[in-house]
Amino acid sequence: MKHKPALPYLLVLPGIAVLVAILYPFFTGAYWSFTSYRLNRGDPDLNWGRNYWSLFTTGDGLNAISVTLTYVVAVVIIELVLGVGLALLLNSNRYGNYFRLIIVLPLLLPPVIAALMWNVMLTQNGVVNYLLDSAGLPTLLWLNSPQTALMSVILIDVWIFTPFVVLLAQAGLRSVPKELAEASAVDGAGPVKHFFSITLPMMFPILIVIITFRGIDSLKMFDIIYTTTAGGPVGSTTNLHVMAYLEGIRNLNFGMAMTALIVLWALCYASAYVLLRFRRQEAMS
Amino acid sequence: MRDLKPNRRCLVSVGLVAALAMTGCAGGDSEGPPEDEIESFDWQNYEGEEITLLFNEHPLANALSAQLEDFEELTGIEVAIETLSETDYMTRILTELQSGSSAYDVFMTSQPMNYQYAAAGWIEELDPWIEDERYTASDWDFDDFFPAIIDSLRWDTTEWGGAGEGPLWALPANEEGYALFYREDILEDAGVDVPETIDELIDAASELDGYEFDGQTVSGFVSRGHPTYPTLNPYSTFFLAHGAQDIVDGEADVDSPENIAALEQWVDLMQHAPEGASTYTWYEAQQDFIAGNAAFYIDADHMAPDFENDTNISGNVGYALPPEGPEGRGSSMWVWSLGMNAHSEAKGPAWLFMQWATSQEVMTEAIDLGNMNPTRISVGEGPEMEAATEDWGDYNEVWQEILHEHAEWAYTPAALWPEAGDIWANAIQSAVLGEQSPEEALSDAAQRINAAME
Amino acid sequence: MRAHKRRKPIHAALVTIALVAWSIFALAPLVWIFMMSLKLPRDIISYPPSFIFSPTVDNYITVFSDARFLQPFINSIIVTLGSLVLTLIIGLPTAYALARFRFKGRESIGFGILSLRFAPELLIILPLFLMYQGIGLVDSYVGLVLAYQIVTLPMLVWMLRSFIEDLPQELEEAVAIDGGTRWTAFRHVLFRLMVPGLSASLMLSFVWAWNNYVLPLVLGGRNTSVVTTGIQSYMSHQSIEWGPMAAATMISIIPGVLFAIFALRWIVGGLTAGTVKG
Repeated sequence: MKHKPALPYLLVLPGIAVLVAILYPFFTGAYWSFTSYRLNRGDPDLNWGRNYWSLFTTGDGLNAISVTLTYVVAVVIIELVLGVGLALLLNSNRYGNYFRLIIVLPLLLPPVIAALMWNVMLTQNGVVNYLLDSAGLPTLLWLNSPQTALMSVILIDVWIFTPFVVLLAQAGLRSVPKELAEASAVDGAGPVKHFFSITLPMMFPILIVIITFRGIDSLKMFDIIYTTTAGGPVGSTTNLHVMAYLEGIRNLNFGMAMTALIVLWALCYASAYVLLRFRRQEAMS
Repeated sequence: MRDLKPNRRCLVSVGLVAALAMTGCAGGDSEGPPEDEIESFDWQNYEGEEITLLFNEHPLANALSAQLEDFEELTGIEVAIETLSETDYMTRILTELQSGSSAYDVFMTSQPMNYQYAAAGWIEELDPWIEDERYTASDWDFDDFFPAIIDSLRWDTTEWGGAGEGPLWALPANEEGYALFYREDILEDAGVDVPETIDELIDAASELDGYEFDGQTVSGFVSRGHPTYPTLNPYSTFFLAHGAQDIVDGEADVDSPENIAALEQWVDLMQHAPEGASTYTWYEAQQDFIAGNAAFYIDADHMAPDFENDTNISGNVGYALPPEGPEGRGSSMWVWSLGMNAHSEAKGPAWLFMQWATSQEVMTEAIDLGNMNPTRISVGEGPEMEAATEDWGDYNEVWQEILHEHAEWAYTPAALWPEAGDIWANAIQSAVLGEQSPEEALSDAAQRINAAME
Repeated sequence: MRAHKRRKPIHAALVTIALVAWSIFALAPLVWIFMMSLKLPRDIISYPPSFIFSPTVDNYITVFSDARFLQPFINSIIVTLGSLVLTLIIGLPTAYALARFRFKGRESIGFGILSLRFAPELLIILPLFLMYQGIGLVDSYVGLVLAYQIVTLPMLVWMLRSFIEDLPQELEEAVAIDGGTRWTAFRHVLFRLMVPGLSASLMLSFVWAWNNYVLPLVLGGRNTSVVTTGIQSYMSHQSIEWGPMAAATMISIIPGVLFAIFALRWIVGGLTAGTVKG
């Protein structure tokens, strides 16, 4: 269809306006990351890369980076496997529609509140341990021990956000053309082989979208961790975002906080860039 | 430091619309009361003005909200009040103050917040207001506040020094001292005496750990363990009893022998707490105690109403002084107070509110409204307090004795203090969890604090 | 559903069991919160945890007679719906252009809009606050609706874009040949086909807008506080009112549930076409 060359630009203009509006705050934050800015101490002094240097060389900084990455990898893999699995089950179940409504519920709870409630349920004398104990199972310290805290936080994330993956994956599955499914059934391919050779490749584009959104959001995870452990015990759940909050809002050390956040932003940027390139190549081939 | 000369821009004749008069007066720093705004004290001086308050969810906030109508009637000032949860409140107040916003005229603050805000010039010095009889009612008795509390709100803005000296940054409205709570019923059942010293407390907690009472297995002790500075408050009863300090002459002293001895004993005691207590914030510890899971508990005395108000343990809680150590007894104190935004455009009305809210009358009335931790001696000794705490054992004597004899602000003032406090609390957690020995943990902490102080 | 019938019954039973198991995991905490909302304080904090208790509606009465929750609840509805409308107005043309036109900078613009979601809120929040203060947008519905675009716009644009890309262009071209304009083609053909995709994207945008926390906390204020801060105001510095907080939580998810019931009908169909091509 023909169109005036300006039309597409006109249409994306409002979108770009939002983007431009956010540039000022973004660059201000980026600038602060190169300063020794303390909120309660007048104008910021440039200290160039000192903050970055200390982030990448001190134990605390490296720990935060490592917690951030562990969290993302664990969350994305677990939620992807569970979400796709559940989507498969939903599609093959007669009551799928009803189950889906139940499964989606945790997504509707504000993560801050969900985390707070989980925190209460998972305390040493909380209801979860009580039930485990009554069933004769060993109890855990969950959020209260450096060994299990990160795992427990991930569990809460899985509880809340697996439904997001389910919704998107289910859509992806439905789009696998029926003819292909039937063809492979005729070929005598088993369900496992069918899944890996037909379904999964067909779902590839949507999986990339899921990974992108879950990846970005879990890199930036703050609500759940801060509400439950505030980064403890002994730093075992301090990711970059929590570190930035502790540095910035509690200690007013905004220079350092912004540094952690810029690194976080760069991680988001890089992963999304790689993932989406990957998708474009796939779409072209 | 403060300029008491009248600000030219503010020299607008009395009688003009006050809102207009205030325009342009808001400077960055504390300026004290304007010279020519009013002639003599009158509660009605600012009739028709409006002020906005930012509070943290707290019994103090609830009590004041319930009494607001009285203030509006008395002064003709309209008050808008916003209350947020603790985390939300910290974020909000910080954003507002650092931007020089005048949206909130009066806000709740505490000592560590005072340091941060005073260093930045965000919060008004109050002495000039108190001293100016045109602004302060003659019967508003400043000397009636507990002296220890007033000292804790003074600071001369010297980083890592100047405690109890210099300007007053806020008016105290609610006080927390740290006390030893115990379960009378369990102690009686087990034939254990109320411990007086730290050693006795550790022994008693060890004896009661795992005790079967009323179908429940109780732990010997419970307290906070979260790696943030509020954990230091219950712990202060231990390091003060050892005569230890956080900072001496601008150097971290948390690894002094006294501090190590205090932490060793605290770690001993925490071995009789639920394992999870190493990460408890106040509310998790409090919940554990209320659910009947622990025999002893050290925390803020103001939790008494939460124990006594129709819970599983009501009527069975005993209140005792913090345990004694080599250097006697000690307790830190946390004081929720009212501070004035240095950028406020309605300082006069704001000050009227602050003095009203901390007056004897309002504080007495607040007892029945849930703010039961008066900062005035007369209110503490009053019959209302006695009546309200009648069924709570020794509570009423204990908290006053703590405040008169033992309580002090246990830390060295600095805008950077919260950072140092968090580092120290982290070390405590690490030692309680057995990740490091108390000595290692504290020497690490000392290094980190020194690094943060630069 | 022919494939379904071919399966062995035992297989179908296993599937149902697995779904029931996950549903229990998903529901149990919600049921616990619901029970909490019906408890008196002494039943909430007790050990062993109480499963059998005499329920009370006191907590709901507290919440409904309390400005701490009601006003934020209404604010949330206003701000969330406002954000959805604005996202739609900005996002729909953007998505359409990205999907239907080939023009210079297309991918960069698409990526740029996605990048709105990269920045952690804390990174931009203080400068944004200063900016808002300058324009006078702090504590206003308009300000919040604008700020929420950071969260809702990238998701909506990307989902819609993929959805439109998936729809056959021929139909629109047919309209054009019949003498219609691009606008009529859009209105009569594309828009109708898009309804399922739209409701899907709106559902997820709704969830993210409704649950937003940091933006309204800092940019909002006394007049515009939302449910996420409202619910938390039951946490005081001395004790937590678990009962009213649980009740407020239960009420706060009702709009989401209603939205889900209506939108889910469309969502799968919509998402199918919507995101597959990404």
